[in-house]
Amino acid sequence: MKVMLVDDSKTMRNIQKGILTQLGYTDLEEACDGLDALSKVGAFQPELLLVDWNMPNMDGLTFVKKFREQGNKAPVIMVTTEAEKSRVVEAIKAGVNNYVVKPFTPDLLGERIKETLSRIAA
Amino acid sequence: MQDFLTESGELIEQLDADLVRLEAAGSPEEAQELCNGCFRALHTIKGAASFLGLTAVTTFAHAAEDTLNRLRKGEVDVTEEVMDALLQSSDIVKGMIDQLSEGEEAHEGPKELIDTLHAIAEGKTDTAGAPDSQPTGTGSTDDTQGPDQEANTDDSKPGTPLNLGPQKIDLLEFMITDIQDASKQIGEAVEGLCNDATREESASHLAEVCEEMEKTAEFFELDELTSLIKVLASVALKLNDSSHESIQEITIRIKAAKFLIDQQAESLNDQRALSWPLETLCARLTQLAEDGSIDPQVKGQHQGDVQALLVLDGVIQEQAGAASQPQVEASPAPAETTDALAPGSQVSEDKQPAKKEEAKAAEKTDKDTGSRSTAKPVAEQTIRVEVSRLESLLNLVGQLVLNKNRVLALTRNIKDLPIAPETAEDFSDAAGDLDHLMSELQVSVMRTRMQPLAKLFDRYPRVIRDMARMTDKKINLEIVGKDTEVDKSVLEQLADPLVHILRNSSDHGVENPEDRKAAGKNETGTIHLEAEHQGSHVRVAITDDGKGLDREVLGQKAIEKGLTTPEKLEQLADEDVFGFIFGAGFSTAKQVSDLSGRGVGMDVVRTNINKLNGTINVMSKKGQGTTIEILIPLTVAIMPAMVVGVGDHVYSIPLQSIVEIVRPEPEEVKSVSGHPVMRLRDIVLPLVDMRQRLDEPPIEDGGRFAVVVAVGGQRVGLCVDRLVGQQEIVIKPLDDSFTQGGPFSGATIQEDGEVCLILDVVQLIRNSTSSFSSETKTAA
Repeated sequence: MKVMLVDDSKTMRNIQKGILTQLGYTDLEEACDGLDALSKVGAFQPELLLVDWNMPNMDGLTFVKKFREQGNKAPVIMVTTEAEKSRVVEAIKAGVNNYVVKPFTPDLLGERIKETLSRIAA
Repeated sequence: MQDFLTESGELIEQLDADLVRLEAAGSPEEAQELCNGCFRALHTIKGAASFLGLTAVTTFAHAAEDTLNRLRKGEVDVTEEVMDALLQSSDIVKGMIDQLSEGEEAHEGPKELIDTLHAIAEGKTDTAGAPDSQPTGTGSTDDTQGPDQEANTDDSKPGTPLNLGPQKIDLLEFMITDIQDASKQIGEAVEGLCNDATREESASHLAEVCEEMEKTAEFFELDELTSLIKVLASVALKLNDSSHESIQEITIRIKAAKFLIDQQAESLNDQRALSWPLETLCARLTQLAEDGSIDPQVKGQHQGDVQALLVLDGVIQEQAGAASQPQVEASPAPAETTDALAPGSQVSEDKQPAKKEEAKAAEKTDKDTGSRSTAKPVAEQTIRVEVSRLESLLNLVGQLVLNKNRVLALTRNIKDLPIAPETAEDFSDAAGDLDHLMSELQVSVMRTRMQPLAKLFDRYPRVIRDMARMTDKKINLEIVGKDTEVDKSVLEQLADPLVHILRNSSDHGVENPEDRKAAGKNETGTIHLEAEHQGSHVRVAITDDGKGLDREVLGQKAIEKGLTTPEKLEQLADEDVFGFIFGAGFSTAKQVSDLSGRGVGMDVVRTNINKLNGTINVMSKKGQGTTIEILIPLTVAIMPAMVVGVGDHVYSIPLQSIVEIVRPEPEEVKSVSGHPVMRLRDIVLPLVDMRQRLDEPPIEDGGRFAVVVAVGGQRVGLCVDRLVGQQEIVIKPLDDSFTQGGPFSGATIQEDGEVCLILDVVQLIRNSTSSFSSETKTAA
């Protein structure tokens, strides 16, 4: 399973990486903002993306829109803060499959990933 | 008895709101519906009252009911006199109920009013001879609309329960409105499709709406809906090339789809997903869009009726041949939907209203049953609980949370103790589960206290109407966002201030029709009442398009009252000058009217809002109107917070207002007119040195964190020494005298039993930005 982490904070990516490794996902790619991610999806062909909302250059919402416009179907989990929660609706319309509110526990993220993937498999 | 009192109280409120709407109702159908609602409310009250032997209430309700009955049959017109009498009677019944709830015997209602009511009810007996003059509501409803309205009839809740994660359920509410919006847009697009000139535009609009909704449906795992909308979207893209003939076949199917979407949205309220056998419908739609062909056997069979089509395409099942009745007008729709989705409901009753020749009496009973079942699915299943019990429950949960925090802290320590690692692990597992369950328990308990602002807002049309009548003005009240939910305590505290503000707006703000005309405005003034969630706050804004506040007059008055000096006045910003209106005894009205002008009202407003830790802003443009904006924290007594350290102490910052946490390098921090700022991505972020703010001695260290908090659109960074961690905190209110000067909104108890103050983000932001702006102003 190829997973892509899109977040401008290295710390956050490391945390996510740790959790994902624990969950058995080791084929990971990182991107530090939406633009970076867009340039990498073509080569990496991720099967799951964790995308932060608030990023420089291109935010998560714009990224998801562009990503979907290109016809990509891979599931996207949006990582939001409590404050952005009310805007999740916008993200859904852009094509987000699930979301998780920061800060999250490893269990919670694992659950969301499982939930999202089982949905795609079905 | 207690049940009767609470129920009647609610009914009366509903009645009040409905009556006001009735007066303004545009279409006869709407009026009819409202009339029925009012009638039912009164009838229930009367029934219960007579059962309890409350003759005073019974007589009165009966008189009002008679009048309403005439109104309902269309024998009496909706005039201001009639409405006055009805509204007064609703007031009187309310008064009686209040008396009863205080344990007194209800007084007899004023005889004159009963007489007036009787006069209205009987006065026009001569017109009663023509019972068929008025269209019978159900029979005449347009076919495409009929099913939509009647779709509520299935009260046995069809479909299967949704199986979604809690984070998705959380958003469900948003989505229901969203889907309904989209469905409305589909409806509009379909209208446009029928017209060649607008077809292209409508088709692309339709495609757009469908694409968004597809993602929404997918997110909520509604497979049936997703596939249906997918088909719609693909059809929409091909519509331009379709022939006129096939367009008709297509639009009726889109309408059918819209109907299904509406139904799904409805059952989402109950967190249930519907499913239908959609294959035929989808296949036919796709086929039609591809080459415009359709099985000649089904072509035109639906007669333009959505229900008939749904049966035709095998989405819902035909019942007892009812759908094949070719009369389009008779709208047998409601019965079928009910039966197809929820077997065992009344077929015969619902069909009867269609027959116009039916005797009036029979029709009345029919309508009653019909409308009652319409009301049912809307009314949720509720039980009444005393508020005090909820309060104590909340308190207990609060204590539990603190205890849970202690257990979690102990668990962290236990690992260092010399005990078997298995035991330690088991222990931390158990603690983890406890944590999980506690947070769910908390959310559920908090939810029980949330109530929609509609409870307040629904009373205001009446207030405004009365004001308008008394002052001979024309005022229109627009209400937006009454679904916004707030804590019960907030709701109660908001009631009075809002009435005062609305009164002020209508009495002082909106001008007389003549003045408005002279000023080139619409004769009818508009007051706009709006509520929304904004971060961790609720924002309520009241905007009128009246004459606005006059800085000169206010300033003059303020000087008279000794609130300021002419020199200081010069320096004050407009907003600060307008702020004077909240002073006690401050009134610029030359004469005290019945309604307002004694200068008490706005003082009450300020006091109440302050009690809620809220803020008020007044914005006004002379001649154009005034906006009064209230920001209130969502006083949820338990919330997640970030615990930070400043000096030797720790403080909590509500997580809801935290946007992110950054670590500014010393060289990134710049200074603008003496205030520290930093650049965060593309904005300049003002920084607040918490050490300085909290009177801690400054120390030399680089590793400080900036917690970026936001309220409304404003952001500041709070510089703190340490980040301790995230924690659930239970807010204990602090008396104002303890927080004087300090930016604290309350206190909480920590894991180790220490007290920790909660930082008031709103105040911090306000202070930092106001000192910022005022100084830049003087600098300029």
